[in-house]
Amino acid sequence: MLPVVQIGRFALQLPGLLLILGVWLGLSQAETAARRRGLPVDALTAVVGLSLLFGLLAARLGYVLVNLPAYIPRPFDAFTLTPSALDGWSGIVGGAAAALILATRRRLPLPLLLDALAPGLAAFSVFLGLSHLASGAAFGAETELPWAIRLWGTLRHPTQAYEAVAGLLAFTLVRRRADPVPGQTFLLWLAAAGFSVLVIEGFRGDSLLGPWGIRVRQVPALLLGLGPLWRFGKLARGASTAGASSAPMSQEGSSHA
Amino acid sequence: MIARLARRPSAWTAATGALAVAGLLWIAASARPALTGLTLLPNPRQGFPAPEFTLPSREGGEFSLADQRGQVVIINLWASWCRPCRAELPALERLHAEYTGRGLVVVGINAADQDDRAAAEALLRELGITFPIVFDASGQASRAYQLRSLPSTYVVGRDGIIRSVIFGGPVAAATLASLVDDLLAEAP
Repeated sequence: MLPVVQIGRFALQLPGLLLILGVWLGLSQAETAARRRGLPVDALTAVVGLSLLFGLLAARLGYVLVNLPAYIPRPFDAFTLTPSALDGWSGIVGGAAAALILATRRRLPLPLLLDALAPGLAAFSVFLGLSHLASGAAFGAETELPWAIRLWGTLRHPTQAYEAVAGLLAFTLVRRRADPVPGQTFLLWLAAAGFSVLVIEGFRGDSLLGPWGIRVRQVPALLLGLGPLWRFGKLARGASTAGASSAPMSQEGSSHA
Repeated sequence: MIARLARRPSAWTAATGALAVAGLLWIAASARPALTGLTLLPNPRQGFPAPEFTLPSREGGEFSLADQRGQVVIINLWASWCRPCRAELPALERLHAEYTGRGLVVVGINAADQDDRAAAEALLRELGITFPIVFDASGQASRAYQLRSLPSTYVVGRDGIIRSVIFGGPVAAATLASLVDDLLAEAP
């Protein structure tokens, strides 16, 4: 764990730096994937950049609205740079809504755009795991396994490293895919992300527990894994049927797949 | 391989079904009884009991974190040479003034092992700070809280569990108030 790197008078927050690095590398991977799919790279970069900005603004606005009584007497505090005053869900919803509106305005086909984003999101999740490792967040349950790490006073599952490895596997899975139906690559990444959370959550030491000690995050994670997988299969069969019924045409255009 | 499997309806349904069953079994297998924070070792981390400290206070006598159990406590580690620390001390003072008598204790731990006591006292006078200040000349609290950057702020619930950690600053008073309001509403 190394949350802060002191360089002279400057205290650099390593988890934050790793997240920024993840965004940068993720974006460059998405741009590469967009180029391969014939999408305008500039438009994709603009959509991602503006969505991140709107996501951040929405996260702050959400935090302020949720904690309105604290901000009414001190309205200017809403404009401070405190990173802890952000609401995650507001940020995700705001960023996604901004991406949807911007992509529509720039006439970017949404399924293709999502396919291009999939390798970027997978690359980002690797750095999210590393960021958690640096901050000691998302820590594992106690264990005596040989690869346990000492964290917060005891030996624990290195769940942050599991996160990074799962992200790397997902990245390998979607990086060079050329699925016949737009949207399939993104669905596959979504399923991989869902199953990763489902498995890794079982080793976490800080899970939110529900009835019968069930780890709450595992339930939506299972649905997130299964739903896109089911849809992926449906799209694949649809493409296969369409391909079979128009075999001569698909042979002509086989270089696409 | 995935695409080939997906094109075969029966195989794909079987594979998805098997994953669903395996997922449900894993959820059941990894369920565990609830652990309360108090069974964990004290650590400077959200969800863990706050590490204890007893240090000489500015007003004379000693200030002990253990004595504050039942109150919400904001612990702020600071030094007079640290600009963000200087900038956020007034916000902490405002919070102290607003929440006096409502179950909130604000305590500033001066990292005296890396600060000048006279400079620290002068700053406190200049800013009109009245909330409790303790001096960590031995580095006891800095070690217990694994101090890596100044300022560092910890919000501790009535049960002695750390609920929020903020590295760096300056932190706005409204942010701290938003963290504290919910904790004060909890039963003592």
